[in-house]
Amino acid sequence: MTRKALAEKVGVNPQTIGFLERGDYNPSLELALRVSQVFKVPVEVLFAFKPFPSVAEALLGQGEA
Amino acid sequence: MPYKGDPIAEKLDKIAEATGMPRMQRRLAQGSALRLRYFPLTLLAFTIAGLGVQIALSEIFGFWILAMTWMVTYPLQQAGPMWRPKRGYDEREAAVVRHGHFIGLMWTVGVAVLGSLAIGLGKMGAQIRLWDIWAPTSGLDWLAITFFLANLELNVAVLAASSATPEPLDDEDE
Repeated sequence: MTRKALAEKVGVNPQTIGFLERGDYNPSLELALRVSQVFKVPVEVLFAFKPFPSVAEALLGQGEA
Repeated sequence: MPYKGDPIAEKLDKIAEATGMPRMQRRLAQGSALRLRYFPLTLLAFTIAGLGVQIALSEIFGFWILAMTWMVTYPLQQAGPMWRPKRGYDEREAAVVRHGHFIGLMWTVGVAVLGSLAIGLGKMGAQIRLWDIWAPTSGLDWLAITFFLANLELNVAVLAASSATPEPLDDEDE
């Protein structure tokens, strides 16, 4: 899904979605819930206090396990 | 996206890209906020200079500079982070605009209070023949002060909103 498509679904500027991805902007509870609703996942899967590991780190962790 | 194909057109496209205008147009078309620094700083310099000229000459010149600066400042609001998209502000944009105007208003109120205090003390000093200070007397003086405060608020708001807007995304098209 592109930023633009997600932005249209949750009713924000695509730039806001980019800033969310980059961690430059903390969303309101309403926006966080709307984004999680689009992906049909619990909100804590998408937003957390600790930064998520990168895909490379996650894959490396799987290989070691 | 730079043009590929004809070498002459490619070079012309590179020159155009170097000016920054195509990038700005793309970002405006996408609805992305632009961070402005030099424009509002220049307009603030003109605003201060305008009031200085009004104080020094108390004629139409200072007022004219301030009015012209306001005529550039006002439309510039729609090019920076205060730009209002057709769909209205989203929560981040609304927060940026509120933050910008809060800082702008705080500065304006601060300058108005200090200016009023200085004029008041100056006039009191003049009564006891200690010192004197410029104070607005004509209608043009008051209009100049009005434009000065309006320019100050709007340009400081743009600067504050620009600093509250994160760095632009490298891949805005994705």
